[in-house]
Amino acid sequence: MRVSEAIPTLTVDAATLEHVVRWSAAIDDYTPIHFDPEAAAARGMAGPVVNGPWKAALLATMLESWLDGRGTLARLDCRYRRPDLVGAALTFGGTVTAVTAATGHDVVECDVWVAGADGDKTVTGTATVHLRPASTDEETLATERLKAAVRLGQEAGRFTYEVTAGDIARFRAAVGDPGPDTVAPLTFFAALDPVERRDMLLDAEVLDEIPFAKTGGGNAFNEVEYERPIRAGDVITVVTSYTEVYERDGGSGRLLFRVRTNDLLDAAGDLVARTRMGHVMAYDLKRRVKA
Amino acid sequence: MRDVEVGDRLPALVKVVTTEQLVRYAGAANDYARIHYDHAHARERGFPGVIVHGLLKAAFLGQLVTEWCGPDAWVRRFSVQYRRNDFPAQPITCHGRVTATAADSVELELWTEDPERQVTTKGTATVVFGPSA
Repeated sequence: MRVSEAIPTLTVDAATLEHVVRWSAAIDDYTPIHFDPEAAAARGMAGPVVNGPWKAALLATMLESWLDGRGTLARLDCRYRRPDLVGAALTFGGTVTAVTAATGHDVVECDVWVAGADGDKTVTGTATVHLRPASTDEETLATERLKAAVRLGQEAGRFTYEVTAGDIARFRAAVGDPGPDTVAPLTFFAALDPVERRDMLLDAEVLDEIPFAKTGGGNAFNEVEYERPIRAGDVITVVTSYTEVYERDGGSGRLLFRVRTNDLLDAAGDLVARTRMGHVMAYDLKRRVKA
Repeated sequence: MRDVEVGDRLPALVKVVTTEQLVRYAGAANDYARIHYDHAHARERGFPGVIVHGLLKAAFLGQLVTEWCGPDAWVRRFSVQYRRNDFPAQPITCHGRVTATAADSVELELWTEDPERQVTTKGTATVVFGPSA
């Protein structure tokens, strides 16, 4: 689910008196303006009006059918802006406004609304949905097996590398960056990544067994935050943890993302830098390559 | 603190990569993914030839920043996202622009362009003026 994604609308061609009477009976609320034309007229209404909470209940139904078992409705707040007359055509809709990750699920915030016959919003509200992680059947890429292989959320490994002036000089020569050999250039963290170095390949076997045609892949993003520059003579211990394994649709197929962080510690154990390395692989889920 | 204003552009840095440079970078960065030096493998993967390491483009953007800010400043944060591939012999132009200034630091927006002026890498950096720890 993505921000600004529209929730499929639910329409009621006409809110009937039967809807209203069934609702009144179900919640034991017999306020007569919902079924008695005279009582409604006495309150200045052109006819019986639909119960606000019934409209809220249909917003909940719309959200549930959109979720289709993928999650649960955690919160629904509605404001009843205008009455709808019995007999009116009603449209129920909504939009995703935010998606954030939480432990075990995503939190999806939505705006929801009810539009009356003339298109005016008669109810506006907000909803919170808890979305379960993608199912782990064989069609998916971000499987529990892959997450276990990379020890998602735990330390995956630690390696110690000495940074020499020669290493820095070689790196600078390769980039064509004529800076000093005493201070490592900004992206030197790349040379200290246990996965790029293939000192650690926790997921190779699981990835190799993915039964779909690979259509692309590579680094997606890199981020670094330094406490201080890396310098010649540093002995850096890199502690790697995978923080995210997830999949989503992309232009070149179904995309599998694996994101890892490296904490770069100096010989005294002080943090020198923290990096985030994002890698993506694309697959065509319609093309099977293995049994 | 130097005289820097929002909107200031960094002097552009142009890099033309050779396959030899990709091999040198593979060695210096310990990144031996075949797509960067094995022509036949790159063709099999659907590319016209070997592609430039994303992290080498990031290194170019890093050079752009550190040459601009000079030795009396250091880069605290740096991030890059890879949007499109670049290829040897096709000039990669590195650009930067100041997006915010504070008492002792500036925020930069960074990007690389290919010969068709398509953005192939996007990034940001925080430069801190003064000595680092």
